[in-house]
Amino acid sequence: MSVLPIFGQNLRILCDRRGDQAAASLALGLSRVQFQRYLRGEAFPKPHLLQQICHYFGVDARVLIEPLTPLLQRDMQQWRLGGGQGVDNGFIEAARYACGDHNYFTPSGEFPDGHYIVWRKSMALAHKVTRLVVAVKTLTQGRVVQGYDLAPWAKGATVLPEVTAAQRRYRGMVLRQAVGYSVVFYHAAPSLSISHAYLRPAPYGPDVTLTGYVSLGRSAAPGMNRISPTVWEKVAPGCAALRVACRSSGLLEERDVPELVLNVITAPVQ
Amino acid sequence: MTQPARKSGPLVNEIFAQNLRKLCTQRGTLAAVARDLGFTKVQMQRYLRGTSFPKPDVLQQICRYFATDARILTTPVAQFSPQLSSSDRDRDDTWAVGLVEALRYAAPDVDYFAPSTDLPDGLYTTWRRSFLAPDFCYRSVVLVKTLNHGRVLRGYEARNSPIATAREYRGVIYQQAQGHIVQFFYNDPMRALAQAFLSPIILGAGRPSLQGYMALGREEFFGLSRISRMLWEPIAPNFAAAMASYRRLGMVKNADVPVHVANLIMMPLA
Repeated sequence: MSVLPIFGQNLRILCDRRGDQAAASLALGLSRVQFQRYLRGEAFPKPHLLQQICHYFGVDARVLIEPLTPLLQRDMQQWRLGGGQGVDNGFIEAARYACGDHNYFTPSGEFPDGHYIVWRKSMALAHKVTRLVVAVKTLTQGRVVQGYDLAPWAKGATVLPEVTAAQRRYRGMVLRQAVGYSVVFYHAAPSLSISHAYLRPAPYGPDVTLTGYVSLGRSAAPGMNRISPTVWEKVAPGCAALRVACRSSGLLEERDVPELVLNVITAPVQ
Repeated sequence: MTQPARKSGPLVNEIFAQNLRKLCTQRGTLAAVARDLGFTKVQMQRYLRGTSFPKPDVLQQICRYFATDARILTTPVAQFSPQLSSSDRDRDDTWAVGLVEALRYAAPDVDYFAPSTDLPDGLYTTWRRSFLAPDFCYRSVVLVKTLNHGRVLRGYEARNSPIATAREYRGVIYQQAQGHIVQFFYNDPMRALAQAFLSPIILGAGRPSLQGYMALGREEFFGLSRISRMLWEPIAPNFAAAMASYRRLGMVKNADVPVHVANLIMMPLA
């Protein structure tokens, strides 16, 4: 079977999906005649035109010789989501190697999207407690989290004033395990460190609460912790509750921490 | 629409020539490839100068010959991984879309997989305390390797392991600014993650090893631990040494652990 008609057939499907052939040829600056020749498989675009066509339809150069199956479309979407970068391909192949076809993003009601108040022991100062707010959300399928380290103006914070919000931001992904969740945080440069939190739903009160522990990817240092229990409490929906939660972030004294939370985060991690 | 096309057109049109040259020299010589593919010398020169491009049927032949795909027309070969489209095409899972988008969102745009001098590819004996019995340590063997770019490991469980539900586990190895993070994936039915932090250490024997700690993403059970110090020792690259290590996988009584290992992994962890 000849490979020559494939591009024209793909182009037809893509045009139908996107609108019509006239609109596509106009947007791409191609004459009707030239576009018809592509559709009939009589001519093929040079790479720079091919790239423009691919960009317009959200596909890649594989449409030139591979039929537009759902599987090809999925691969093209993946590659585009990955930004088409070699580094991301390192991630994809490594993650694929490590997780096989196990899906770590199956939905569950135990850990819904939304904002959470995160409590843990301070990793640097004894008898202090860190309170932060993070946001958990679902992309197309992948579940992610974003938070900010304490701001210089936060209660009790020891952060230097020149530290920017971008430097304080950290992000992670939320992987669902057979029991509970693993949250993997990727911290920005210069440390590029990766930390891990294990969480599972805890039977406290009417609100969604998860407890677990967090471990940092760094060397031991005198007087510093790397491991702490953690409590995640869901913030009630609405701007007012979120504003209160954010304003209450900071480095707190143990006496200012609710007893239930303090009991959990001061227990030894085993 | 036409303005950027004029600017980027010629650049894009050089990519195929560069890719072809790279693939040819990886494979052998330009002349040998031209002969195998049945190109005349003139035609080959025109491809390599970027003045002519193969039609889909010839492109398909080139792609099959080099085990790549049509993206070689528009994208430098270092920026895509053909394995992703050829060997994975027959799979119909979609979890990877979630994983890629989550990593893209969460991880900074850096290369975590640069070649490592202190954690090179190869076999390692790994030691940690048992997560089941305080009187025992656990000894495993892992193979560290580099895929196209991503760095991964495969670990082997003892045949008589009381908890292992699969004979092997896999993981991803990230290089941080300081030290390494190993993300372990224990697939179904356990479906859990663990994370280890490792940094180089020179032990008395003089062999470069790695030490750090491992945290298991599991809920707390009375009497069972989830965190342990860890030691990785490279295994000499010969068959006898590898086989000897495989035979000694599994639980080891604390009293039988080599002193230099015991001293390190029994230390309290902070």
